[in-house]
Amino acid sequence: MTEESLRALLIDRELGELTPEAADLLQSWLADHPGSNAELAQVRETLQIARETVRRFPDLGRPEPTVTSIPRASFRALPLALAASVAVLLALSGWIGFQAGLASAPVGVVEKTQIQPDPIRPPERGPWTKYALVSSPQGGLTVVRTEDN
Amino acid sequence: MSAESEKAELETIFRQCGNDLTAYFARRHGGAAEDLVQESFLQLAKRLGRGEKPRSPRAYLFGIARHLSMACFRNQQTGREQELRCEEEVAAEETDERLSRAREVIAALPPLQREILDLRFMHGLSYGEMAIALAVPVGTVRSRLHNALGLLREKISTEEKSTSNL
Repeated sequence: MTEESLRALLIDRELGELTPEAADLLQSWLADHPGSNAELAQVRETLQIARETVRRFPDLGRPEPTVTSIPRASFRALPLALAASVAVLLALSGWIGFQAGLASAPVGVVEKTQIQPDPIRPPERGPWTKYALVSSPQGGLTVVRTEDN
Repeated sequence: MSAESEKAELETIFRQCGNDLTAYFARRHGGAAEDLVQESFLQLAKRLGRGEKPRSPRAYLFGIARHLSMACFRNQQTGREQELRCEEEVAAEETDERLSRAREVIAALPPLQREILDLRFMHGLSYGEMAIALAVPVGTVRSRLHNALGLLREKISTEEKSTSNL
């Protein structure tokens, strides 16, 4: 048994905090180790001094609030320069990302969103009446022959 | 719980704990002890009325007493504090030098350890009762008490060695 453990058990026994079984075991151990009597004497002396001191000075036992709430994590304010740097980096990366997004937009997306103009119909009479101008799938306008001519 | 049985229970608890509680408050607050004891039992009565059943009424009462004492100290008049300090200084002068040194050691302990020493050696609360009154685990009470006594022992041993070397 370590010195610390022995001291703790002796204190518990002197204060009546050991179970009867534990107290008997300790007593047997003490009987087998007579050198531990010195430690027992010291424990008893310390307890006596503590008892007398506490009774003599009532201010020692003044209750004080104990912390029971979980302490908040302390906030450490970033240095101003560091905060500004972070803000600049975020803005820059956002701008770069936007530009990259614009540049990588697929071809035809803009075209597909274009409003298809109505086909331009030629006048009802003349050489061009059998032709019509319509939008080309490839973009721009093209001439097609109309079926009724 | 019926009003009559509640009253009987309170009377029983008062008979068991009234003197200890009075001593607890008298040491700290002098003439206000009686009022504080009454307030403690009023708070206990309210809790019993709410259906709470404390395992250890004595420990429960000391827990209430502790909070009332803290509140009382916060509201205490400056004059009374000065009076207590004067009494303390006079007591210190008349005290055994060894107790004065022990007082220094104990005064330097964290508040919880000091309070544990007081509850144990002045008011005789057990480890379990102190745990309830202080709202800490029993293991904490035990370890803090051992730590406090260990420091006191160390101080006494150091002083004895320096004295024997003279």
